[in-house]
Amino acid sequence: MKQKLKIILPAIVIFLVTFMGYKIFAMLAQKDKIAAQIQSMPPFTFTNTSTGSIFTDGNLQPNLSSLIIYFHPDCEFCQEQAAGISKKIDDFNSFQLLFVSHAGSVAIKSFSDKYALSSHQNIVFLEDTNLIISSIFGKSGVPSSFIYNKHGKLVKHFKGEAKIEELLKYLNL
Amino acid sequence: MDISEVFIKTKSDLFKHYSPFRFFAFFCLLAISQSFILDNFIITHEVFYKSYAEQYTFAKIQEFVNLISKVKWFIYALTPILYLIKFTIVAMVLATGDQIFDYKMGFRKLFHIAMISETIFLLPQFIKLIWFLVFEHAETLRQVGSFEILSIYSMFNEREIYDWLRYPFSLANIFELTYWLILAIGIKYLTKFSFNKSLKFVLSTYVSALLLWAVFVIFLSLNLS
Repeated sequence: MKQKLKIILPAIVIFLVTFMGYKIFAMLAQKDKIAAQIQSMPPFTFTNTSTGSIFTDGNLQPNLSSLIIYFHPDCEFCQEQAAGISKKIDDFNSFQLLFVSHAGSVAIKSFSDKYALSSHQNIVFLEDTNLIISSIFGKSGVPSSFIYNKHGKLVKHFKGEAKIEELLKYLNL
Repeated sequence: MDISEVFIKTKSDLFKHYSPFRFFAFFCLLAISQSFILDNFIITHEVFYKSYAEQYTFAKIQEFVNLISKVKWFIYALTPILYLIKFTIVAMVLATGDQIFDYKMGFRKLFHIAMISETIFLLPQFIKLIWFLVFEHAETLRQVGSFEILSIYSMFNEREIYDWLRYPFSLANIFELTYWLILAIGIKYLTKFSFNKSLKFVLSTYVSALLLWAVFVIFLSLNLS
């Protein structure tokens, strides 16, 4: 038995290290791919929760800086960030804001109504119905904010809640 | 008589007065004292404000600081339990090798060796405290967290290191290597084997498990980030 263990245990360690090592390299390659992909506005297709229609990157207004916020209606930090934007909504008038979530459209609508963000022309609430956001913008916790300038180049990525002043600073770059 | 034999002789004298319970209590007291000094004199509220000023409002940071102040006493209280778990895991890894190779050291003695060897890790924490209390004023949490003396991590500019490499680079340090040597000296003391044979035992048991753990942490951190 002990002779068998002398072979089995090292074999298990080698197998696990090799397996995880392979997965690590695969994940690193995927991360590099996404990091390069998000440097310019990546192609995306989500569902507009107010109209039920498809919203793609082609629907973005040209020559306007964009703020894409990946959020979840139940996330406390997302709620605070939305409340902060709502308070200074006039400062965001010259930018386009996209709120994207994989939560259902009812929860997203309720969130947009709660923070009085649904009636603004420059703000769109999108549902990630096919759960593809992580393959487009990478795995991110909520909230995550991606700021693109008017040329469609990424200027800042905030992981977690971001101060409203900071969002405006990078949107105005 | 080589260095390890001198060490063992000194240790044998020390062991006349060795009480595992008193040693553990003293060890935990030292570790908690270090955490207390770090939390109260180095990682001040000002450090929190400077670290999160870009991301959160003053009120939010204040809320966070208040929460940390309450939680840290709970963490101090948990310290002995966390160390007990760590010593048990290290002793279990060594005991697995003990069973396979039939060295008959026993779990209890291996647990004591794991506990005694752990004292080496109090040293880098002590150096960190002295550094930030005497030589450098801490400005941000990142600055304190990235102080990994005598490690591969300290050889790079921390902004140049990928997040997933932080753990393995900080793990590869002189104190970790010294820990392996102290474990080997402990094994030699128990078994009367040569130092080289004891070190091979540590490498094939503890170090293999550590390698597996490090790869697992990298795997997990990449999955979660």
